[in-house]
Amino acid sequence: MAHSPETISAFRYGFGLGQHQPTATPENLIAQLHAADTITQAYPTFGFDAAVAQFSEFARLTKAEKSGDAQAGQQRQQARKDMRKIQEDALRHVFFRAMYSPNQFRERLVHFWLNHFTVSAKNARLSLLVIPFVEEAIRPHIASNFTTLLTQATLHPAMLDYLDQSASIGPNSIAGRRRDRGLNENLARELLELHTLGVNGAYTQTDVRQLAELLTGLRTGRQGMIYQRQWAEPGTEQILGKTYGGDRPQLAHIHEFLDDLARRADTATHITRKLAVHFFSDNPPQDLLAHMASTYRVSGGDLMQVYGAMLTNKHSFSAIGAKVRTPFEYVVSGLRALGITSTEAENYSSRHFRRDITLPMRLMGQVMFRPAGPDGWPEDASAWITPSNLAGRLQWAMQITRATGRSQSLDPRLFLTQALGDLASKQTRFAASNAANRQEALALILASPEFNRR
Amino acid sequence: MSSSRRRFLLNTMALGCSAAANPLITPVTYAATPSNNRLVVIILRGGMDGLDVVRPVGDQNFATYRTDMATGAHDLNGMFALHPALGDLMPMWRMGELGFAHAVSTPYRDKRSHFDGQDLLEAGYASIAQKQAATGTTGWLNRMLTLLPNVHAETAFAVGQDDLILLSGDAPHSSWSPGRSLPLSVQGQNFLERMYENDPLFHASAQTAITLSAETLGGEVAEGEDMMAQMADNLKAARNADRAQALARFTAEQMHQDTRIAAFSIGGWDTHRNQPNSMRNALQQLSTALRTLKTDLGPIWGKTAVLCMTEFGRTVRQNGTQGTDHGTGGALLYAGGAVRGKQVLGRWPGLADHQLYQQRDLMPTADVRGLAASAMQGLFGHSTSDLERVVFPNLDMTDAAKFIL
Repeated sequence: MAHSPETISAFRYGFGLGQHQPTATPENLIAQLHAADTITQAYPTFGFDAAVAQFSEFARLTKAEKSGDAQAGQQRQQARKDMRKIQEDALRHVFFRAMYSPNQFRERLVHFWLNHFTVSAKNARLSLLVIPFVEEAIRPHIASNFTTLLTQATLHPAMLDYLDQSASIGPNSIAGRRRDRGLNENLARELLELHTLGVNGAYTQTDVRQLAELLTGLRTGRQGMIYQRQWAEPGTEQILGKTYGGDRPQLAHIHEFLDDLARRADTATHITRKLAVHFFSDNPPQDLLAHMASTYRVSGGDLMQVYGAMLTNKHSFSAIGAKVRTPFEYVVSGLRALGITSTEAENYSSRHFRRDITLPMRLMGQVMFRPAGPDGWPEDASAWITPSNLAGRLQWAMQITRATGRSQSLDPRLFLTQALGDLASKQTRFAASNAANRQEALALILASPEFNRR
Repeated sequence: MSSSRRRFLLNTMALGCSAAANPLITPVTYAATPSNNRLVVIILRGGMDGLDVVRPVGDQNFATYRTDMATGAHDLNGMFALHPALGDLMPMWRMGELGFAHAVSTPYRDKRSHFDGQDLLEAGYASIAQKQAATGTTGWLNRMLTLLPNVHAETAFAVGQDDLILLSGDAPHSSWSPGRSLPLSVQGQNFLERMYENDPLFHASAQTAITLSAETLGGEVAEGEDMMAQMADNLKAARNADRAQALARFTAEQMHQDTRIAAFSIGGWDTHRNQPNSMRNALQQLSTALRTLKTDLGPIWGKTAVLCMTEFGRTVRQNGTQGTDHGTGGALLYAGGAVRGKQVLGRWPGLADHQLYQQRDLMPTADVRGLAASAMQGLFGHSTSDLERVVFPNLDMTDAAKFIL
């Protein structure tokens, strides 16, 4: 059965049916990226400066407390609570943006690129830096040239910290000769393997090593990234067949390299394939891949044109369902489908938000902003639909319909249309109208393959 | 849930997902299990630094490469010493229930990618190219299962949340995380099965979930308020549980029943920076897992072998940030009452610059797949040719050390 372009568009390019369902045309989807990003004003988060202010205050109070200032001890407890609160508020706003933005495609792209340039909140410091990373390095640049996005993401303090670049020192630099410190090749490797060329790209261990030398000097300062020449390895580096740098290390050499890297054919192939895998299937059609990759190459990595190629292809509104929604997508889509209003959502306490949203997501296999490694969350359906993760989805479906009162007020037959439009299978319709009670009927709709796939 | 209901569900699940691929599955086979021996494989994700865990202190070059290490290592045999954070495992070593193999690696070389490295470790092929050429991704533990008689869905268990390639393939297996439940009425479960009947992925997962959630909760699914309380408990467990202990405990529970083969993973080994600290947490998880298995398995420990394997070792030299970068050769840990422990297997390649792999990494002198093959042969009696062709293509077992009692 052919489904309507509206349904396909909402599932493939947005967080499902609900408020602000985009009109299903390529022009409309592209227009969303040109439109002003007003949802960020409705639901603000915070940037690097605010994160640093929090750290500094906390560090100051810790020190004062150690030197015997009893009042500082109490203030420190308060500072810890404040730090937690700004993170929790920002996290809620990340959900609210996805739920209520009229520019659904933009929200999906933000999460796609955040996952591509994964920074995982693996410790307290990075937990505070992930939000600034999305806000400053990812979100404003998703519709620019890939060079810009790559540069912003690579040079953001969160990335420099996450992949250990901020501790890497050129062995022959002034600082390296003075103390017993040296290179760390973590960022250099992932920059090539994950962020640009792909693991099958044409690069070697020598390229990784040389790149690690080129990247020395990048550090995290109080105002953001700083380039510390005393840390930078002097001399030239040979990377991917070209010579970079010189006797006097400069940040410009790193920019030059990132610019070249973004334009390489391997990068074009890797980036466009990742987009197609995310929005279409784990094995996207060859002609779609070829069209997107050539658009990337010809335009020099102009992301708007690449999205345009993705949206104006004969596959753009083809049948959906090859992909499975991630737990984040599932939860956001579920809340949209249930018709949770922004007032209801905003009135949700932090405690209830944890109980009903972020903790249940753990049982589905996703700890928000905390993937296990720099390769981010998986794309393949089988990684998400394991028996225990599927049980987690069902558990949430039962829990949320009750916690939001929808198990009292929402007619399952109406919900079937709200959630699935014209997608509901015969079996799902049957389950929805024959389940023993409303709660189970609603939960079964949320558990249906149609709702979990996109 | 009655045992007949449970059998029925397992049976339908096996038929639903892989009966065509595996002629061994018929209802009558459930009476038997393939063997009395048990195998647990623990995947150590992130690249465990074998040189830090099993330190070659007898190699004169070692100390020159590693200046910032956690102190207080436990002597093993003069040549090697165990990382201080594994001190709780020394009694196992002394009883001959813990051993190591050093300077081993998978056949993966040169690009040093975690993700390709882990894929190859779990798939068990001779190269990434060979893995890509194979139709569908299957894991070596699953291919081994296809060679065993009387295999059913509970024979092998992937424990925990991650998707293990190791157990993927044609032979049936189960997967589950401790502390989960499926909060649906029996009627709701029936609707669920019907909704999923045309979607094999959801269908197979739901079948296992229905069976196991009932089983691990010991009976009927709770309803109403009880159900909400149960879900709250699950949430708490997901937040607070010591993950390694929970995984090991659940594994042991299954092994007391029909399960003979289980796998799970422990992460946290990617120690690029400040290794003395970052290594401790990962090693404590590993130590907890092994000790919990021994305690909870009780008498069955005597029939059990545990293999702990990682995707690659790390650089011989510490890097500029008191850590180590991705390398090649590393170490395997093995444990259990069925192993010949208290030894460090392998041919030591030396650590002088010219003895290193690419002047950088510990030179692998043995294929880690050979050790896994040898363990499976000792436990389950596979032929060498099956192991060299079906389970680990292009493996040569000629020099593979034997360490199963």
